[in-house]
Amino acid sequence: MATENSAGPAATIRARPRRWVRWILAPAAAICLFSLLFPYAALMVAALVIAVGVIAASVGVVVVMRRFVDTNSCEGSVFREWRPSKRAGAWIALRVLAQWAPFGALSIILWWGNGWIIDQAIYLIQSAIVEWCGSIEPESAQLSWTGEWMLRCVFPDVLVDTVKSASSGLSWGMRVLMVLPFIITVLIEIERWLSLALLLWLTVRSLGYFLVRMVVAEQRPKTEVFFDRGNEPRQGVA
Amino acid sequence: MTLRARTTIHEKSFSLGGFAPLYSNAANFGITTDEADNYRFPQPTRCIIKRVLAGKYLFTYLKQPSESSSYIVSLRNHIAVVELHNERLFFRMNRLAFFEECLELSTTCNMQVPWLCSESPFIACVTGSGRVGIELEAGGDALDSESQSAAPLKVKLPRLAAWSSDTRLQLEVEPGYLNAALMAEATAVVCHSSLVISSNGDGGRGSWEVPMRALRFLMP
Repeated sequence: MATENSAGPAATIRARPRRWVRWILAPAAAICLFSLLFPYAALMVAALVIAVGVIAASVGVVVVMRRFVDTNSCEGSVFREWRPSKRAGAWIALRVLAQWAPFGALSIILWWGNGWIIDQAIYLIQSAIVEWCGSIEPESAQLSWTGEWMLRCVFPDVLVDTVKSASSGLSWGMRVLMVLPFIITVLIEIERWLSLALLLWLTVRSLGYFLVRMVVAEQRPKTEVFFDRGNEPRQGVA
Repeated sequence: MTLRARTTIHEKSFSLGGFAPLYSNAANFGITTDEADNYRFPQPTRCIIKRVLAGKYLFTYLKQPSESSSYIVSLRNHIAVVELHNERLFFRMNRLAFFEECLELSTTCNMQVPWLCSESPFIACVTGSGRVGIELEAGGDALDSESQSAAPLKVKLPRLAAWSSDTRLQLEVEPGYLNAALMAEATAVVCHSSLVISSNGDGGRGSWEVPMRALRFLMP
């Protein structure tokens, strides 16, 4: 696959196959194909990946926190060098909270607004589903939905039953169309949880930032930052 | 020979010869990039996130046709070329111009509180023996703590382009609520270092400065 190109007075560029095809497109295509052929297996794999991911993330957070404490607790580091009195510590905590307050209030307003919009969207979608189903004449034969149990995990039984009875006489295309609002609802529910995670992260991040900034600004003498031993704790301060 | 003595800042186009196969940022070397086949992934698993965020994921692979030949590097920015002898150099990924194949990219995590205050904990570094090029817009300086006998060397953190692994810094931030809320840049006081490369520009962010600060707040 390698080709030779001249670029520059005396340089040779050796080209290689485009690896992004192999590294990104091919795995993505394989996952899509697998999901189409074996939807239940794909669901199980996805659930397994999520479960393992949650466990791994929890372990990762513990490891990171432990390393953070170790790095900053050894001789000469900030947790050792900066020891304010109780009164001074309380005063600093109050100042940090006061600095953070506008950002905290803004995040709460944004969080409330986000939840309100999501609730209204879900209400509108579900109302539309029920109304649409009411305009369809159901037939006596009831089809069993392969993904029904998943829908019942998320949505009210009444809603699922209504859609199920209404869609029994419809073509596959129409049934897929009817499932679309469910998918949209799931997506905006995911957005709700992601925004909650972002809110929590921003709260921790902004509080930590204001605290550290204040400590760094006020600390005398300054603690040194070193790089020579990677992640390991430093040994002494000049 | 000290690391500082092995560092050269080039202001004009220069000839680079005798290099091991090289990964380079083609845009800054004036190489024609008409053919997509000119690109490849250097060390595809190394510093992935940093390289994606810095827009330096794809590098051109250069190989000398013969040992006697050399390659003319046509500069758009100044470039500091550092010759490493089994050493480690920390740098900002968005300033990486080229590095020899024998060098290894990696990411370290520095979780010291003062550093976390104003910088990302994840720092790109290059280790091994070979040459690495660091871009410096609007010029720059290569300094060490030995040459600064009178006053300690002070560098604004965004202008810190690369530094040796034995560097020890003290960080100073301006007090005040506005400075904190707007994430005003910190100043690094160099206590000890074999090499500190500072740029006269702050990374070319310009009008992107405020969005970049906001982004850094979301993703440190």
